[in-house]
Amino acid sequence: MPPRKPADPSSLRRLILDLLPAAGGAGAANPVLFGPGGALDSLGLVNFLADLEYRLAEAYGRELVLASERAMSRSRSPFRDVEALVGYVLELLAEPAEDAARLPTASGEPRP
Amino acid sequence: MKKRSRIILITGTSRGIGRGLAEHFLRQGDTVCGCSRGPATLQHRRYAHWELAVDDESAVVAMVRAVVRRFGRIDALVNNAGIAAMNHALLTPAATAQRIMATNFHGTFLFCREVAKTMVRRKAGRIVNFSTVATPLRLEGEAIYAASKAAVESFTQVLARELGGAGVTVNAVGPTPLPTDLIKNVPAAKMKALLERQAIRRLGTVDDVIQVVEFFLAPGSGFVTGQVLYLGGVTG
Repeated sequence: MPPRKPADPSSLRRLILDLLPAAGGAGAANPVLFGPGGALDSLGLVNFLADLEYRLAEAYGRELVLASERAMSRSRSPFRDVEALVGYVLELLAEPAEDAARLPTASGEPRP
Repeated sequence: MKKRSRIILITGTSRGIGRGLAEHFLRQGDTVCGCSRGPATLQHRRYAHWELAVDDESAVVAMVRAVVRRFGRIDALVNNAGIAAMNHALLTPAATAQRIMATNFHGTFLFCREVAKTMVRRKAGRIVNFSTVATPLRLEGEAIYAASKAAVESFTQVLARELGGAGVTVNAVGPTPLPTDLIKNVPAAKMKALLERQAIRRLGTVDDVIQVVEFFLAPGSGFVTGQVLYLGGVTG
């Protein structure tokens, strides 16, 4: 999947805010995502990150796994608030993409 | 009313049970997305194949997301891919143990994780993992294989609870030995002794396994989750 556009903090912030539930503090300067006062419970965070991975693939052409070992081992979670998540995703997007030639592609063109 | 065609992802479709399952679902009118380490051995207008190792995280992520992009959803995941190595635990190389755990447990985990993300978004989906009667029977000579499947069983039961509120069921089938490549090197006397421990003393068939998988996938089985169903009358 080719990169579609470079990531910038403001478009990434908008993309993330669009995925937050309406009552999730999207109007706050830096909404808390998870934890005390957060917009999401644990299943909500799972849904949110799953949606975000697909939206990032559509917007930036990168297949990221956000709940990586790196994210989980940080003393300050990148999922605590929107700004932390924006910074973390920008960091991931700045890294070289996996060699696309190494990844499998489908043989066969089924139509349901 | 015409039955809705399902989008089913099956791992390990090049031979044995996985191939049998794929052929069954294709006959039912479903679309099957399969994978194996080698190229496709199955050609069908509703079959797509990915060549990958199930413990390769990037490859699994790429396959699952490609399936969702192409079909919009995955209705069911059948984690069939598995390997075995019959050996006394004291004679098992560490690399063999790692390889078995990587394919049987790590591969199952990766596909469950990636597919469940898409199922949770839709609040619907069925996952069927593969265990074995070697686990409840504590079969000598299969310590690592049985341990890897014990991990699959435990993972299945915990994941069922984690996804219970999201409309996704997670179950496992535990086949008896089938006449597949996995048992081709097992001595006849050992196989006879194993069958003696079953309530119904015969080798299993692919159809026996299909029956259980279809039960877990049936529309009426939405209240069945966290279960491990052994064939042949073996109990846990």
